[in-house]
Amino acid sequence: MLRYLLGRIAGALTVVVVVSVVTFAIFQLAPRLTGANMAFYYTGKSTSEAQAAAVAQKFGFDKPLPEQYWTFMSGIVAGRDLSDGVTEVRCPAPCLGYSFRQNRPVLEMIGEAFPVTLGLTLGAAVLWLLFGVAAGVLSAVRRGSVFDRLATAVALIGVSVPEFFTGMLLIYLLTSGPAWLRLYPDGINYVPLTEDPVGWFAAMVPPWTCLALLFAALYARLTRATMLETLSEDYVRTAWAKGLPPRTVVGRHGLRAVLPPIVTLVGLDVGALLGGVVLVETLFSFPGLGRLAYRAITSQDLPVIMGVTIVGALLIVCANLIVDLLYGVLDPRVRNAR
Amino acid sequence: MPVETTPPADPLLSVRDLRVQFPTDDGLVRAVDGLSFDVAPGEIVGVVGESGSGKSVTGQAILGLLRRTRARVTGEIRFDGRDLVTAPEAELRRLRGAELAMVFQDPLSALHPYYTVGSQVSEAYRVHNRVSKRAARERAVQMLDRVGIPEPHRRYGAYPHEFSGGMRQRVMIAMALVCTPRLLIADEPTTALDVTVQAQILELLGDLRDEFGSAVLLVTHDLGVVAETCDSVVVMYAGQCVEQAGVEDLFARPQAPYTWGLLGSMPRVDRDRRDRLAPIGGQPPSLLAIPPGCAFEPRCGYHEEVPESRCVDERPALVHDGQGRAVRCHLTAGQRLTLRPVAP
Amino acid sequence: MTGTQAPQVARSPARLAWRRLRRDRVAVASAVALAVIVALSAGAPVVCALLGIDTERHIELLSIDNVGFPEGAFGGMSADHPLGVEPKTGRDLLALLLYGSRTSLLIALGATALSVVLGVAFGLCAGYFRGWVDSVLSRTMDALLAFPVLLFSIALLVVLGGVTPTGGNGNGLRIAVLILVIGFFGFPYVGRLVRGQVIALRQREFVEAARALGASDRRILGTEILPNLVSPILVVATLTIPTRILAEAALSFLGVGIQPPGTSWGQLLGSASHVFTVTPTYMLFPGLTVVVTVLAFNLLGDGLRDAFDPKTN
Repeated sequence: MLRYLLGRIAGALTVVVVVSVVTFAIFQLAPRLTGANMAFYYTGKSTSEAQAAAVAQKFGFDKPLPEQYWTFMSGIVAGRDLSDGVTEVRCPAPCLGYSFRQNRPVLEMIGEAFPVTLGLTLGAAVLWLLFGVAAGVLSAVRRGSVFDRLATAVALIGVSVPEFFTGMLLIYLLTSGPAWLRLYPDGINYVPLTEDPVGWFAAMVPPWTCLALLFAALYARLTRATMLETLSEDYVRTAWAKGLPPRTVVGRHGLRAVLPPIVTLVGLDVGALLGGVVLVETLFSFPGLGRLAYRAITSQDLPVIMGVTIVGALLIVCANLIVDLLYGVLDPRVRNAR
Repeated sequence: MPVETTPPADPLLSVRDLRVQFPTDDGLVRAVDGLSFDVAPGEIVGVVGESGSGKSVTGQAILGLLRRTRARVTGEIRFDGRDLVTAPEAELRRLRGAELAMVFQDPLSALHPYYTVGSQVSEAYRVHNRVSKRAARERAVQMLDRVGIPEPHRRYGAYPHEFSGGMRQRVMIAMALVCTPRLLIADEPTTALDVTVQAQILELLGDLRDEFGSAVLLVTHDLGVVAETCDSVVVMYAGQCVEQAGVEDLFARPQAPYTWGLLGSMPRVDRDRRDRLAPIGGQPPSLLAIPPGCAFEPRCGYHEEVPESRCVDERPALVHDGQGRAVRCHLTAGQRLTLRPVAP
Repeated sequence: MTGTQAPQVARSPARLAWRRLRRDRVAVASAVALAVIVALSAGAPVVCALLGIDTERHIELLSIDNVGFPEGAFGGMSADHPLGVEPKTGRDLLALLLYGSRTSLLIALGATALSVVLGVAFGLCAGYFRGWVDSVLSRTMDALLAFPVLLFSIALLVVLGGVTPTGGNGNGLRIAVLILVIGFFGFPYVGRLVRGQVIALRQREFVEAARALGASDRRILGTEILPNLVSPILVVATLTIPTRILAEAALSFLGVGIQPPGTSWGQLLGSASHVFTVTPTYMLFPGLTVVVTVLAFNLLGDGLRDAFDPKTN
């Protein structure tokens, strides 16, 4: 079990390193294609020749790429002294870089954005699992009923609607729609949980809905299919043969067997969820990681891009690790095999 | 004359004209087609037939497990005087596990992979008995011990995949007998097991019958299993009973050509090895289109003995001899005596 | 039926599947809807000419007082412009949707083809050779699944976008780049599925038999395994198309995909994201088009899967 765990952690770290290497490589490629000065990706368009030279010198653009990469990565552990040719900055460990465009350490910006994204994703995940699994189970149990048909139809449409379209519809209806639906006449604006829990919750509901709708539909379909399969298993027949009431047969014996595949899927979907977060945060103008990343990428602020992608990859592999461990807990056969 | 081994008593289970039909896209599948037999208290009755003969479906119909499927079950299944075909689901649920229990063919798939064997056994006990978790646990440990699970206290918390096939089937039996049911339906309980383990499981079933007094309906395709365990036998073919007899009678004086075939295809150590086994040629009929005459006729080597091609045109009736034997065949009693392959 | 064994008419699995598919009303309706959508987009110039619409700017339709938003209700809907006109430019929305569907479908189909080719190649090799080949390929696919794909796509497009000409209708290179990026990140899903199928097929008797007869790996893969993968690949391809449509829409929505004056469904939705509180119809029609198309592909994919493998339903 310990060996298994260590192996998984090593694998996860490898993925994070690969992600950081690829991100780094993409932006090494860029100046070669565009002919722009590399310094541009650190200090922006208005960089003077002298300043660019200073940045190049400080970051060692003339040095071999592996060395540059190593300098960046070791900064995470040791901290770095950085300069844009005008001001000198000390970036203490763990240093994910410093945005000279915004004059802030990247880690600070990520730290600020993280709670927004965490609240968004966790809330959405709770909603989607709750509604998705419940609808799927009910559909399977009442197979062919009106509820089943309705839920199946809604789920099919749900998986076909992009979250940003749902988002625009919601924003339109809730802020500019018919008067009885205009619940957010002043717009949907993010409020930190610590300042105003009720306001936070109210602001979160629409983006939660956007994110959850797509996934809930997906999970309802999956749960229904898995549950139908499970209900035809021999051990469910055994449960009936014991004289258990339907509630126990479905709720205990059936549902228990549906959980492992759902958990696996959650692990696979964390990456997709992060993509959804970029879209939803951008659309709703919520100051989370997704919007931070999006803005950094479109303004080509390399230190922020590097920082956010690494943190993003870290989040995904952590989620995968948790899912893996949870799977071990849920499936005794896997637990013993390890 | 054979000596009646079981005194005539009110049967515990009495199946009359049972029919199970599955509507499918291709037509109506007649899985069981007018089956009747009795099981006396404490008796072990074997139901024998090839796969698709309707023997497993019969067991499931008795427990009402076909109610959640598209199957149509008609006829009468009287258990202790109550008709299980028409009984409300709530009443059946009270009987299932408590008075009627079932052991399935493959214990690995029949046990829930994510729950410990102990919790599965004690759950079966707690559904029908208002007892504390601890008492149920004790009862389960006791049952596991009784069916021969070593170190039952420790193994209570183990999962099905940690057991061998034979041990798993013992767990299934413990789970089925935990409420001391009056009828145990064992559906091919030894088919998925090694030969050495098979004998142990069969012995266990016999012992438990003696101890708990439960009647057993043993569904199997294996006449060897029947010979070892059963008091009487129902031979099924294409959803119908073709022969019914006490076990010694059946092996000593089989009456139906299909039974002859079954016996002929059974390997025996006391027979010369150079005697070839004689498998029954051909396939059982499609249950979508059972021939109008004798269902076994296309595979039967004796239909020319019956005049006017009656075997093709007319379905033989199940004829009882009034002494617990019944046979479904157009051959006359005399013909059956002379045509029967020489008993080894 | 009379007689014991009615002789079964020999029917190939593909023909059986085709028969089941034709009986599936939902799948047939989806296929018809998709055929209409594809025909409309392929014949966009003809359709536009027939309807008397074009993608020219019509500034006269825009309100000067209202900073460039269309005159009239519902985004300037009129007999001449059935779905209204684009804010700021006055281009006909229906014409934009028709031309945009060409871009969106081209990217989705191209990306799907790339995903399927890569996925089949990876899955086939990983599942067939097992061992270290499998380890390397599977790890690669697992790692890709753990990537923040959207962020990478945005980054790649921003960087590569620097070299693609913007302005005019110079979206040709951009379309190619989008196909590459979207197609590449979609392949691990296909790869994993193919790998699983190959592993199952490998154990089957006919593959064992071919190997026992001394057939080469290439021959076994080509003549024994690949033909048996056709139906799952067809199903997964059909179900991949809608996800690629959504991926293009997402990237263009974020402004890193197709750039105006070029147009695609995602580009229209992206432009709409700044103005939809004023002209909701400008957002509604492209959005509904995406939903209907994606839904139709999903339904058709489900129908195909049920037709090939009826027991799953």
